[in-house]
Amino acid sequence: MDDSQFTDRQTIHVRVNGQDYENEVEVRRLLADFLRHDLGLTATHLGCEHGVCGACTIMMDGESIRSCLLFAVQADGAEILTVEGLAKGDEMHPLQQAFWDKHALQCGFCTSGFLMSAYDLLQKNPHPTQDEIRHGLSGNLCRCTGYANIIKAVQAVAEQSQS
Amino acid sequence: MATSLVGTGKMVGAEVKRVEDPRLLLGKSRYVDDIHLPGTLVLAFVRSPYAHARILHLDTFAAAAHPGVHAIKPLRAEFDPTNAPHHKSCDWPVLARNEVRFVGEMRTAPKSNAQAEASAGSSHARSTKADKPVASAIL
Repeated sequence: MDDSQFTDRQTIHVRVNGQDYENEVEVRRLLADFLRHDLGLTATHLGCEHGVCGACTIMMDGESIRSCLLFAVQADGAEILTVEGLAKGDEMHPLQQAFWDKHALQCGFCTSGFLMSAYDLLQKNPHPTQDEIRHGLSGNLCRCTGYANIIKAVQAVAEQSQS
Repeated sequence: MATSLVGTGKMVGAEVKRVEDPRLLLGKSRYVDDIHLPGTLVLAFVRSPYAHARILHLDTFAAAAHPGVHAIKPLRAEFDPTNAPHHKSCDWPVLARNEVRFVGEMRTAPKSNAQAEASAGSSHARSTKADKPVASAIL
C-alpha cells in the first residue's frame, strides 16, 4: 500500500436531519465516524464496527443501514436521518416516548440503533405483528434490558397509530 | 409517578419512569467515546496476519513517519504491564515477543492523536517473519 490511499480526500454533500452539509473527507472515513467526529452527531453509537450489533443503524434515503459498513463517500448526495432528527424540538418521537414509558432501555447504548430500526419497520409496516417486530429488530443487539420491553414499546406505537 | 408511590407500599410491580431516559433517548447523553479532551492520544495495535510465525525484525520507520503518529511502542520490559508492581504476573506477554501464536495477536502499538492516524500507523508497522507450522481444528 502506498500513502496516497490514506490521504485521498473527496468532497461530499449530504443532508442530515434536514440540514445540508458539504464536507471534505478521507475516502476511507466510515460514515459512522463522519457523523460522530466530523458532524458531532454522537447519538449514533459504534458497538462492534463490523455490522453485527446494529447500534450504528441510521436511515439513508429511506432505508435503515449500518453506518459502520459504509464509507462517508458512499453517502454523497444522500438524505440521512439519525436519532438527533427524530424528536420535534422538545417533543419526543412516539417511539422515543414509548421506549421511555415501557422501560425499553437501561444504559441506552443500543437504543439509538433500536429506535432507527423500529422507525424503518413502522415506515414500511405500520401495523406489524409481534413476530414481524421481532424480525424487524433482529439485527440489533441489547446487552442489558432484554428485548421484551423493546417489543412492547414498538407494539404500543403501532397500536397508537391504529386508533 | 414515583414520588407519589413512596411510602404507600405500592412501588413493587409499578411502572416507574426513569429520570435519565430522555437524554438517552434523544441522543444527548455522553459516553466515554464522545468525550474529547485536548491532547488525547489514541492507541492502536498491529496484529499478526499469521497463525504461527517468528518475529525476526520490526521495522517501524514508515509507521513513525506517518503524519500524526506520536510514538510506536514495541514490547519492552518497561512497557510490559505484567512487570508492573502490585499486578499479578502472567506468563502470556501483552504484546508478542519473539513469536506470534495466532492470527490477530498484538505485536506493537502506535499512539496517535486520532483514531484514523492510529489505524494508518498500525498498518505501516511491519515485521519480517518466517512461517512456522500451524495446528488448526474446527470445533
